[in-house]
Amino acid sequence: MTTREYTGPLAEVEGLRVEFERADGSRITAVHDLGFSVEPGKITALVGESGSGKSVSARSLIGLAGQGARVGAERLDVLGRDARAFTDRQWRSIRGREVGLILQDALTSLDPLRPIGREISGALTAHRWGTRDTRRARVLDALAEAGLDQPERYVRARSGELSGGQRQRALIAQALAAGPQLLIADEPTTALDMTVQAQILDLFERLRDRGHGILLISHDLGVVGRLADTVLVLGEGRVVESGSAREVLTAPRAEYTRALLRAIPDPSRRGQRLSAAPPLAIEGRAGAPVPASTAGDVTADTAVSARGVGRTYTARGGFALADISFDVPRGTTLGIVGESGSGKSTLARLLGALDTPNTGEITVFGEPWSALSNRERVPVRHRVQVVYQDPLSSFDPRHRVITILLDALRVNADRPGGITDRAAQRARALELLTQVGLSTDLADRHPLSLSGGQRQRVAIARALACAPDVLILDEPVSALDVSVQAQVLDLLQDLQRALGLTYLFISHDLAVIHHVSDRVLVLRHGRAVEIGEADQVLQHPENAYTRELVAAIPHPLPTP
Amino acid sequence: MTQTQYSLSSVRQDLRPRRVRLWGIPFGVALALAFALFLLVAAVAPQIVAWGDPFATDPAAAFSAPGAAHIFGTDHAGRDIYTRIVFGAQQSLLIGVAATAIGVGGGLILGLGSALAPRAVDLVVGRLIEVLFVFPTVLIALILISILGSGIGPLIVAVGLGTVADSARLIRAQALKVKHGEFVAASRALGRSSTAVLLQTIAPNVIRPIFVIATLGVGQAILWASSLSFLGLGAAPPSPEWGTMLADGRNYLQVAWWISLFPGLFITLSALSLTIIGRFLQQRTEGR
Repeated sequence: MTTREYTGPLAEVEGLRVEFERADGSRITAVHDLGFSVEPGKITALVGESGSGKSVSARSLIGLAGQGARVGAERLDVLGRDARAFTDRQWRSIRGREVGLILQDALTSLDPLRPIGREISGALTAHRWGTRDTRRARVLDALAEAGLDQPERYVRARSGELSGGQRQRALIAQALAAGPQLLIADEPTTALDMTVQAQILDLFERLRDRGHGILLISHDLGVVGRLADTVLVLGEGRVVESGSAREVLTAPRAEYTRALLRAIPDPSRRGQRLSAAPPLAIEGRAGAPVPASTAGDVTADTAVSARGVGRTYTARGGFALADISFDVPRGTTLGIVGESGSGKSTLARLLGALDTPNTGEITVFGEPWSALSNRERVPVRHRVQVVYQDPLSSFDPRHRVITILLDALRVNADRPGGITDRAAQRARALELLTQVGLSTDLADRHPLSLSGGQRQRVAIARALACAPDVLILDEPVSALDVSVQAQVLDLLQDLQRALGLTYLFISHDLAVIHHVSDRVLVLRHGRAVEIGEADQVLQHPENAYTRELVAAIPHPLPTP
Repeated sequence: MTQTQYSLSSVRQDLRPRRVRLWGIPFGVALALAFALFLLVAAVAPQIVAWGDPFATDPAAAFSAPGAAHIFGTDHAGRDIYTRIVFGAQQSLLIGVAATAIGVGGGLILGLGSALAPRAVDLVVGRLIEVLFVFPTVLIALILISILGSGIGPLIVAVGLGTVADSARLIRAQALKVKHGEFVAASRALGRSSTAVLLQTIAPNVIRPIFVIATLGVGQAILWASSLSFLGLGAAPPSPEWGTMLADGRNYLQVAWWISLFPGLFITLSALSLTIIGRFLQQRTEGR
């Protein structure tokens, strides 16, 4: 299926407008006056943050804008046909066959109980495509087109038996099966590890070269910069800026685009602020040492030290973590980077004393930490706090913002420096909200009604309520938009400076790790493959695996 | 070719069916709430909704079909069926609530014990729950009644203990879910002791959804209790208990269908409306 009949624009959209009806009957306009086209052999990208209307716009091309959506356009041509008057039947006939949709979350988009082969041939039977035998052959072709070697091996596999990258390829195969020339890829690499993402991006380039036209939806300017020919930047449902990828990404005209680009951590601007927000005025703690770049200084006192730490889970037989050793000087940040399965979450649990190592020991300020029993640890536990990737699930579902903070203050009320007076607790809770840059108006809201960035700020405020010395930050910005990520990273930096905090920052994102860390530890399959100064490790990696990771970082600016 | 005018309705992309709502509550749930309110009034102050005497016989009016004088008709002794149903509501609700209290109470002890205690205890209690679960509720209730004798008290105990296994399983599952929740780890990391985590974080989150389970349970218990009364194992005949009334009328089905139909309808509607309300609460709390 390498030769394509259609040579005109695969999709032409002018004046697209999408409205949603809210529960109370009022209307909200999600997309205003959007126009773009997708040419064969080209990639058009819609870029924007959550809520910018990019997904809805793309899905309008296959008649699936969603519940309560009203779609209007001056022009909505799909493969030269006016789609504005399409009936349900006509929409069904183009979905899959002429326009393929590649979804973002492969884990939830595939039926866990159906073999991959059946999932893919479903796309063919829906269009009464071919006979049983030709469909079988087509499924194998599609899997091969999606870059899965030995496709026979995957036909009978279920999604749970595949790795993240294989699942994403299976989804792509599903979209390719009925031979659509136009592909819509909605955040196709968001949930993937860096090295896997790089492979999937290669695959998209190959599909483009084979004559597919691709509409790419992404919040990741790195991905967009690498793939797209044309870029449309969306903000609040309007086109903020559009043009060739090179133009938009190297010489952005709109302030919104410039802010988006500035928000991306980049080695050349390490340690500088990423967001436009001014630094928060945070009162330093008395006696807090001013952190300097003393990473290599042996005399600096050590906040956290690990010696030969390992953890095995007997049930699985293998080890999750083996022989990890490092020292983190007070007031500095150790970045811990690795892909899924590298053991970084296990390490976070061990550092947060939510789990105990089988071998080795973790000490905090030279005193035993992992060796303590739970009971012995209670009086010192507040010194090490954890901030999780998904703050919402780390909040008691009964609690509102203020009760989350009061709860933390009450638990620590009897410790030295604790607050026992109710009114003073409330005042301190409000002060903490201000300290993390939140309005005190949010105090009585439920976390469910907050944005992702606000939730993470609440989680940080809760950690600060315990007056900790060390924060374990477990993928704290992975679920956030790039501009919100920038604000949270800036906040963490401000807090570290003012309070002399020591961070152990865990992430799969090398750019973020490079931005925040003094030193970096690279994990792979539960072992430390490299540790050293951030610049040294990430710019001149010694280890082959670290080099592979670094090479996989997509850069927003097309390399000359 | 080019049109410049918006035709907003030209592309229909909404696949969702329309639902009727009253003040944000689905229509069906509103009906169920209205019926439950009627039951509650009937149970607390039956005189408000029915003015007659549920035990007054009137042989002359026996077997009157539903009509103006007796909207649900009369039975073989000429007693007004509507009045008896209203006065029976108290008994049915009492049995339902009391049996559920026993069932959920027992389930709480077994379920929480099994989920939160050390693994060895879970192994024993978990097996016990499974063994209980193997026997149908009715069978357990019948065995208990054959030991305790018939009557309302034994009926409550029998239905209550019969449903212990069901609620124990639900509560155990809920407790396990909460126990492994990330917010429990977060609560520990704040510096709470294990006991404090159990009492201040785990317990309140396990107990909250139990109210929902209980609402669903009351409807179920009413159904079980009526079944047992129908078999003559619960309230004794002159009592206006619904299951008993249902049994009363079964000999006259050919000539006077209303004697059995209306109590049966009320049993069904009570169980149905409580289940609808329970489901609604469940969606509200889980969907948050």
